[in-house]
Amino acid sequence: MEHSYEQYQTERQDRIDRYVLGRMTEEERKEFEQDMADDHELREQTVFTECVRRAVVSREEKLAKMRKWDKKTVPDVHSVADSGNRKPLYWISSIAAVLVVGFFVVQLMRTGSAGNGNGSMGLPAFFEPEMNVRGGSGYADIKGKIQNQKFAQALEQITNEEIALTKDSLEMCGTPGLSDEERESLRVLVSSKRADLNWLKAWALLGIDRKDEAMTLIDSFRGQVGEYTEVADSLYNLISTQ
Amino acid sequence: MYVLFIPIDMIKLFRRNKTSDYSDVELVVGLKKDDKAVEEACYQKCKTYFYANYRAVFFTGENEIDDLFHETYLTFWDNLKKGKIYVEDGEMKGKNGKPFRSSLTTFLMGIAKLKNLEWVRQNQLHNKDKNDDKEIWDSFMSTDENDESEFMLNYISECLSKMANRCRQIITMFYHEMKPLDEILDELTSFKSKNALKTAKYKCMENLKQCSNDMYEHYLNS
Repeated sequence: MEHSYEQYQTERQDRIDRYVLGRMTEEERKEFEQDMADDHELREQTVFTECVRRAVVSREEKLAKMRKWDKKTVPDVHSVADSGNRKPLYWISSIAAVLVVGFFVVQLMRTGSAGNGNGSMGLPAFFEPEMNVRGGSGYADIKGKIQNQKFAQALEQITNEEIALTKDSLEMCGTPGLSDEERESLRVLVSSKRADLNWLKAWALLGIDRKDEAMTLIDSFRGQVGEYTEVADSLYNLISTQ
Repeated sequence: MYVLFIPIDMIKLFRRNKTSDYSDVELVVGLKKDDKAVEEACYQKCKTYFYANYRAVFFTGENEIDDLFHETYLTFWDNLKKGKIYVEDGEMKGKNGKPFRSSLTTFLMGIAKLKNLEWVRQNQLHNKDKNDDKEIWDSFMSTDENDESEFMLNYISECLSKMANRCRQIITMFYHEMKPLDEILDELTSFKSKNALKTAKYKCMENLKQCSNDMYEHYLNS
């Protein structure tokens, strides 16, 4: 008996479901609505079923949105209770980071300004107006181009200067009658000029985002004893940790 | 250039916190209008507040907290959408047009507390006076009893959150995903026949009806 009643209720629910979910034909729908008008319990159950449908749809739509927003949440909200304690730490670590960076920037600036009073980019104080090689005054020009972010032009000029330097050094070394001391002085001068050009080249390469080439050049300074060893080491480490 | 390195933490600190861009009034208005930006901002604000403060409001297990938050927020959202709290002349108002003096986050935590209480009662962990937090219960369960379907919807939504997972799964697949019983039977392999599934669904609906009637009785007698 109970099984029959349950079966009857189940089948009635089937019919209600078809109506609520819009699966009835026009004729079936009219017949059902007529039945509802005559049967209070049928009407009640139909209203209840429609409410269940609306509640479920509303719930799932909201849950879908919440799941989407949950994916966007970056910080771990389960540990957000500690966030109040972390804020001062963030400030302290941020200020410390700025101080560390500022230290390196000042170091670079000092290295650049040691000779000629400028060097906001850590450019070398190497310019010697009396230098008897072609293109001596062009290095200030290259530096100016880099400072004005004309990196491609600076690189082109550096290349020209390198060619000129090579040519000059060959010419000078080939000059007859030079003493060993004079040859050694020339060699040091050319080596110094090459280092200056390579240092400028590293900055120009960084400017046009050819970071790997720049880092190779900077790394080569670290391996030699020279004017740029320390500052190259600092710059290399700074860029590596970025 | 590489000269200036701005610490990422400082960038985060200076970045505008979107969840705090809206006032409670703006959130209530925005949620009523289904404003998507406001919906998300409100959710993130409530979520952050909930997880930061729930330990001070009630005790619950870590395994249940995520579900509790989602169910709480569903009720919170439903209530705001239905205008249980609304804005009139720039002022928030609640039941019977009285000024709503609490913050939305307080309202949220009140709902969470009640839900947790219901869960505790269901699990018979301890007995508490059913009139606890009656004011908050009234404010979020009150409804226009002249609107029969609205009245039922309110309690059915609440009961859906409390029903057994398997029942909720069947009801969701049938009424939300609109899957026919044959397809549900393929997915829920624990049911051996279509008739067994149909019977289970019928019983779930009966439980849902009983639950919502019980809630209405509780409301009438409180």
